[in-house]
Amino acid sequence: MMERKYRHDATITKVDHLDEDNVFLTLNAPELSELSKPGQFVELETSQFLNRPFGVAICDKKAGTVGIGVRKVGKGTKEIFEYKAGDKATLFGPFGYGFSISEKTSRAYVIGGGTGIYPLLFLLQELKRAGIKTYTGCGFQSLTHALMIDDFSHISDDYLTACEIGEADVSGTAVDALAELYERHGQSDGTIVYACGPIPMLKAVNAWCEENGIDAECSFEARMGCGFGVCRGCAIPVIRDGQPTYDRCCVEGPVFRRGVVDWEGL
Amino acid sequence: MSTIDLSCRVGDLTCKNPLIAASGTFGFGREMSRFFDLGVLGGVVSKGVTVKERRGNPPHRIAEAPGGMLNAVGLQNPGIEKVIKEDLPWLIKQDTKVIVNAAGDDLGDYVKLAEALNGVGIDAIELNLSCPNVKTGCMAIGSEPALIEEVTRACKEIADVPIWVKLTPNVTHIGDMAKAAEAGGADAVSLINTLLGMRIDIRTKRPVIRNNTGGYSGPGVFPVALRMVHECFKAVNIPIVGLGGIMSAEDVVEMMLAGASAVQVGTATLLDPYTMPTMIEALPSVLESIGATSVSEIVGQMRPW
Ligand SMILES: Cc1cc2nc3c(=O)[nH]c(=O)nc-3n(C[C@H](O)[C@H](O)[C@H](O)COP(=O)(O)OP(=O)(O)OC[C@H]3O[C@@H](n4cnc5c(N)ncnc54)[C@H](O)[C@@H]3O)c2cc1C
Ligand SMILES: Cc1cc2nc3c(=O)[nH]c(=O)nc-3n(C[C@H](O)[C@H](O)[C@H](O)COP(=O)(O)O)c2cc1C
Ligand code: FES
Repeated sequence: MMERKYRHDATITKVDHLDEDNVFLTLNAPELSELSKPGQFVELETSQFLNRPFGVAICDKKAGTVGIGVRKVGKGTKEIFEYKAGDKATLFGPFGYGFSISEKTSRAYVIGGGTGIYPLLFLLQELKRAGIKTYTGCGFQSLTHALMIDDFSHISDDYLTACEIGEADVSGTAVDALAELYERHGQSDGTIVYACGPIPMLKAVNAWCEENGIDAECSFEARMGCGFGVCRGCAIPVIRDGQPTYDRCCVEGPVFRRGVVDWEGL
Repeated sequence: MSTIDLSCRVGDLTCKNPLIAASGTFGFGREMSRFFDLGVLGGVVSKGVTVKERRGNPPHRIAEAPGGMLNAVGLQNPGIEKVIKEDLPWLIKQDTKVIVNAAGDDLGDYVKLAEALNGVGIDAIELNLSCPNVKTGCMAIGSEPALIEEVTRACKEIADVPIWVKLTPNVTHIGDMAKAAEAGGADAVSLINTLLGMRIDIRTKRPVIRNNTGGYSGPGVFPVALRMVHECFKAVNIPIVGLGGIMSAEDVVEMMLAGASAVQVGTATLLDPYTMPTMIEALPSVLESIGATSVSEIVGQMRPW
């Protein structure tokens, strides 16, 4: 039988229920952990017809494990929420063009909202390994919705939680946290913003970066058919050669330089 | 070592096995080559190609449905010139048959596409007279026997490779459509394309798909596809390429018993990129289990009551 390098029959080794809606799974999948780069995603098989995409949130090549954070929003994720340690799971991946970590990068602002925070953990791990200073801001509805604060503050050089309701480091959105972090740490050559979250957040990050003349890499979500570039189901509006067109979220993305995204077309 | 002969013929074209990748779920092959050597396949049908570049429909382009999915990609592709320059040279180097799916707004478009593909080195052209997700051409032509015949004949006159005509299931009598293709000189018909469908988000009262409607594919369409393949098998003498909802080697055998000389696999690839090699690996033992020694001997061997 032929080798199946991008198919992983994994065992779930750990299940952490972060709150009523969020679960963090650790899976034993050595080849997957070997191949994964920050910003890439996996396609998880469930009883639903199409596989479900999730960003790789943790990658431990030594242990041969990967982690994904999953928010319960519909039928597929509800099923995933019920998984127990020892259960088997089939995944495909890693897929997609992830975050790029350039040698020129000296400091990074890492901004997350909603389920977009999960893949940023893996990014932060690699930024730290590359010796890059990281300033992280995550936005939540309220402090009771906040997730993984300890993990993020531990791995970042500075970390702020932003909430629109109630007391937090910053009252407001993830972008308000970005502004506050920027106030504290400023920019030098090779400053970049990495962002992952809902589209309104990405739009606000883009507007802020535009104003401050900083480049950004933004991770998007789209309905996916395959996850590996053959169906063209996962269209993200972009500008290529001055013309509006659609890129594939699963191949050219999910991470896009903010300059190529057709923000008006979103 | 299995002694089952998997080779099959579609008219003058001989494929090493009957599994051909369907249009629109395999790109132009390159993305799939990281999963496996395309040389294991009987053939590959390209994504639908048009005369000019098409950017496709706005998202959402996809929705789930019981037993499958809806899509309205809208034939996003770089246009024939770029495809010939950038995509086909790589694909024809693979050790498999290459079929280009051609989609047009009118007769003139189909002729232009057939002409442009002369001398390129492909093995056949599949005329897409069946895409339901564009405003003009395709399915509009494929629902009118007279137009099917006219377009087929015009392309047949120009093309230097066999012409397959891909039929839509969104008609009352698909056998009549197959007959029209045969009358126009088609070398084969392939069927089915997707069934026109719709999903509605009950909260917003909006169709889930931005195009409002989309084409239904996946295992849910399999029984419809089987019935239609059999109807065409009875109606025409040219070979039939059967597709629609094939998920396993057993489905391949069932489709061939209904009358297909070869099959195509579409949506199943989206769920598992290795699904076609898996079916090819399993096919010999399924054939063996029904006492067959070759795939070609089972074509149309269903025994109706
Ligand atoms: C590249 C990428 C990375 C992602 N990473 C994460 C992550 O790390 N953690 C996390 O919790 N979620 C993530 N998501 C979103 C996650 O895939 C969806 O929440 C999930 O598919 C919903 O499935 P469901 O069956 O529960 O929802 P349902 O609503 O029952 O699903 C119906 C359909 O909608 C699709 N769908 C619904 N919401 C989304 C969405 N937001 N994005 C894409 N498709 C959607 C489903 O795939 C399915 O086709 C990511 C999405 C993408 C594209
Ligand atoms: C995402 C997607 C894109 C498709 N694009 C095309 C296309 O460009 N041209 C075409 O003739 N058929 C296209 N089809 C139809 C398939 O080739 C096939 O006829 C149909 O999906 C039924 O087979 P299946 O159930 O095995 O997918 C597409 C199908 C899907 C799911
Ligand atoms: S999901 Fe199929 S091309 Fe992106």
